[in-house]
Amino acid sequence: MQSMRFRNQLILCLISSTCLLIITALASQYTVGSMLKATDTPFGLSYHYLEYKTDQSPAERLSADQLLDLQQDTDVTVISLDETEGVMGLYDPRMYYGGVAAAIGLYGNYRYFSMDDYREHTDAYIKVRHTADDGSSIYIYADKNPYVKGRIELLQIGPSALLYDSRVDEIDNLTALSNLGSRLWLDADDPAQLNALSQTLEANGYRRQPAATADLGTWFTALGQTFRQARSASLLTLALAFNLLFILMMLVLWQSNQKLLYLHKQNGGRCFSSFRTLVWPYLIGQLLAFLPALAFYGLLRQQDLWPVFGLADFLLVCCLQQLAIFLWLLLSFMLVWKRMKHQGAKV
Amino acid sequence: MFLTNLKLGLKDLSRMKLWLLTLTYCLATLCYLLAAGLGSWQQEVILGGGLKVTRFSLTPVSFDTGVTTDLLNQLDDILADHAFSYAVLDNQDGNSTFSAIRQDATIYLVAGDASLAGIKPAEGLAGQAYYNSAYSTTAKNLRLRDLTFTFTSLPAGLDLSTLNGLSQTDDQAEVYIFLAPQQLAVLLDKQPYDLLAQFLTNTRILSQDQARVQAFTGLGSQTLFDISPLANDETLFLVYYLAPFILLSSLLLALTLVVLTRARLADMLRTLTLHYLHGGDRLALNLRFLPVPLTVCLLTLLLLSLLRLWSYPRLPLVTSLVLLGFVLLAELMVFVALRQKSFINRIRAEG
Repeated sequence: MQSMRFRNQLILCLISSTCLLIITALASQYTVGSMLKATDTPFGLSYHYLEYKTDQSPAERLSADQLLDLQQDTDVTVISLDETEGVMGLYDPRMYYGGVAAAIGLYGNYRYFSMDDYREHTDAYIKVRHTADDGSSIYIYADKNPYVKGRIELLQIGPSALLYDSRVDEIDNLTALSNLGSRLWLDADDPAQLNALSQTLEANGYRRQPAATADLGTWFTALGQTFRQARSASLLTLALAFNLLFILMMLVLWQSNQKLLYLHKQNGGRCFSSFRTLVWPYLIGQLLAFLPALAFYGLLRQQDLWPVFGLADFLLVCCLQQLAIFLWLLLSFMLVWKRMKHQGAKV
Repeated sequence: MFLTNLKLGLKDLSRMKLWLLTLTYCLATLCYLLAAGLGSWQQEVILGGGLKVTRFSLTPVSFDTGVTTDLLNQLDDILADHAFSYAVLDNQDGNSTFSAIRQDATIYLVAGDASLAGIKPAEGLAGQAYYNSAYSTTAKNLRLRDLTFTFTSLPAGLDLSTLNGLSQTDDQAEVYIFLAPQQLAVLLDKQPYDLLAQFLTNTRILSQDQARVQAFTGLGSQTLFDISPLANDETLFLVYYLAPFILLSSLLLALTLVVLTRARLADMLRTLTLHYLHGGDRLALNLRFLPVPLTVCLLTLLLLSLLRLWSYPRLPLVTSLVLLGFVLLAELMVFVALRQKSFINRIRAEG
């Protein structure tokens, strides 16, 4: 086979690097995304969640009204827990946990907290049902008497609910409580929404706690769980298999250029110096592949489909893949060079 | 000559073990992804309306089950165009409004533009009522309150899988009532809240008609629900994520196949020329290349059955199509390349 022309080599490498870049980026973003989803967060919050803690006495703490701006903070969820009192406060205008009420049906008997409840500080609560060892239900009424006029029981949740906590006997409207609990969890679809809230909290004696997702063990568990889903496992392994396919392709390509390699060797070329001379078209093709990959990233970003990867993460993955591609080029060249026979000039 | 070439082709296989394994893995995974993607695609886009349609999430936030005529009229107006909804009613209580219908029948009330829900054909349904084979009646008309529907048996061509969840059984009596505009408000008046709640929950609206979407979420304040539009994450994922992934994978696969075939052809040109000179025609030479794609196919089938994936819906069909395409592509490339080569010229030049 005649040695391929510069342009052909460039186009070949451009196409295959573009494919590899995008495939790897998609696969790794999907895997990281499902890992984050698989990590165990408190109360089933999203991985954006923030946790705060304070040692202040109840009287010193902020009240919900001082923390929340009911006009603006409509896309956040705040959970406040006071372990000693058995009461949880919930502020959830984005209906993150609204599914518990929707699932029951029986309209008119059960409902969830409404925006009006938060605005008007309604003394509404969700009753938590504990289960005894023999399977019977237990309702614990703390000092707040449920039969006091004006108290509204919205619905009951059992141990299977996301919001269930064995220390908590009832979940109250956060704005109806006189102060926040000693532990707080914040969450929002868009993490930027939480900036103002966390500033207020940090200025008032609350300390940010490290997220549960931060340690390595959690990550490995999550990775294991992710690989149990066929979809993300196949996406990631396919990306790896295509890297292998690329190596095989390059082996074949260098091999069919043996005549040229042999000439280089005959004229005193060493492995690396010949590689340096011959790799140029591939290298340029590889670098050009950044352009279509970035364009693709832009397209998907427009659709809000990269919830986990920012531009920096995307570029990092791309650079790693490019490095790998270059390594495959070198590796295949070295293999072919080493095995080159004297009749390299065959046909 | 045929047999010799085939035998030699099989001999080549031993030199390409890694190629075979990698191609097999890629093809098998691609088949799986394609089958899984097509499954979700059918679910999302064909049944759910996909990106075209906005669906809603409802959370009950009030105890008030009062229904005003004004509310029903507004809902009727919203469903009049660019929108669709339905409710399923179990007639066992012998509801007075539906007393004309047998008590053991399940009633499907359908309103709005049926094409948004993938019902085919969607035209001419409004004002019609249909019964299935398990429902026996001689009545030609169905009177509900002040409304009259023509009552006929379900046409064979009407696909209602969106409503009855794909599994249509013939032993359950079913009645389908397609409401024309203005009929919804009449029929829903003084009915259990559950029926209205079903209509609200199942509503889907054409995404382009943002004014209508706004009007519908605005209805929330008159009902006991908080209504907010649902994001179409799964469809977006399929269109912008899985589809490019599969396309680019196929492209890369085809590209490596081209490179491989061309290199093999170049390697074997001398051998092939000798075969040609000794009486082998081009078809026979083609056979030399057949074992590789065929082995890949066999290995793919083997891998898929080892993973026990055959029961996976659509996988057998997708796999057979993909493998067929793969073999055809590989053979076509060899065929074209062999046609273009002039063996006699090669012999003259190389001696």
